[in-house]
Amino acid sequence: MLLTMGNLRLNFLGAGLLLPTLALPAFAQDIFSEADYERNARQVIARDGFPVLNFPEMRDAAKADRELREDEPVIGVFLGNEAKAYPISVMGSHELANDLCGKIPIAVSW
Amino acid sequence: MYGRTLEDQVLEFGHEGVLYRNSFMMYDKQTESLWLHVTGEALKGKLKGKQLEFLPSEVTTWQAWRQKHPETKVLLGRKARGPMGTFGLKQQSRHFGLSLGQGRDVRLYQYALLAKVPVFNHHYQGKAVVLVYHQESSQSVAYAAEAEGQPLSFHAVQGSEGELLMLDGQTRSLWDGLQGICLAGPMKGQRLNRLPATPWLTMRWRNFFPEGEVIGLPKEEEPAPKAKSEGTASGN
Repeated sequence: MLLTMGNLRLNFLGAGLLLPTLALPAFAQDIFSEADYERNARQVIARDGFPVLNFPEMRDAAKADRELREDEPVIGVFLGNEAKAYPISVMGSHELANDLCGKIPIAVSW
Repeated sequence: MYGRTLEDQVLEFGHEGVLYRNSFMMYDKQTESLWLHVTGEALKGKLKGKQLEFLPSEVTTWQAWRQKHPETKVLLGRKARGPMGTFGLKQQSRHFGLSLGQGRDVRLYQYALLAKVPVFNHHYQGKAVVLVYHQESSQSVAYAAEAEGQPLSFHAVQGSEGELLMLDGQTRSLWDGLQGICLAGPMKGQRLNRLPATPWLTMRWRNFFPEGEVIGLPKEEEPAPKAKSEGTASGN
């Protein structure tokens, strides 16, 4: 199971790329710095090569009932009296969505 | 989940195509700064050092979300291939945890622990916090453990319809665990402040925060992994 889970990243990218695991030991004071970024970042696909969602069309719950299992995980957000759900199964093939919820600009990532 | 508004500017994000420490980078179309999507922090560019606002969201099952918000809109579309497209939150809950905090100052509370102690009183950054995990809906929330300036500690009470209720030990008030609202007692009507916290796959979290603190069950109580685990990168 864990081995399968270890391939998540490949499945997220969906492009069948074989990606190196970058879990290198880090210098604590340096992690997430720009210098660390320059050392460890890898361009794996072109900028915008991944299909980010922009203000996607949403369906109602009755329609979703036909496509989602009851125990399927969703990212739910409730803002400004509006509720939106982003199933993780669908976010997995996009990773990122620019959207509005209750008129508030949000970024949904998984 | 982040707000896209930064100092009156609304940002839109794209995919940089770069993988950094097992996570992808976003760029904003307004300034082309590069952002870590897992922390909401800009690492490079004009907005370097800026932090996106954390907005509360939940990771829960479709059923639980639908019950709470029948009017919800839903993103439908092509599902990802592989386990992400098919897994269930309940079956896989032992692989998840609640990451408390924002930016890089985070700590992970594993669901395997919270399943045993669904109302978990703890300290974080010198303040009392309470973590709440509702196994039925696979939802988890973190709150500052105080109301009206009074520090509180909680314990779980089973509601008649499976809902998660809590009693605080100081005033004996009854609280709705997932909403953080006081239902009865001296604190009635009070609301707990929700803290930034996001559910994560433990494995991804450990890869990303190799120095991060993981609060979980003692090793012998953890579910036995069937294959080589990610543990070597844990740094614990």
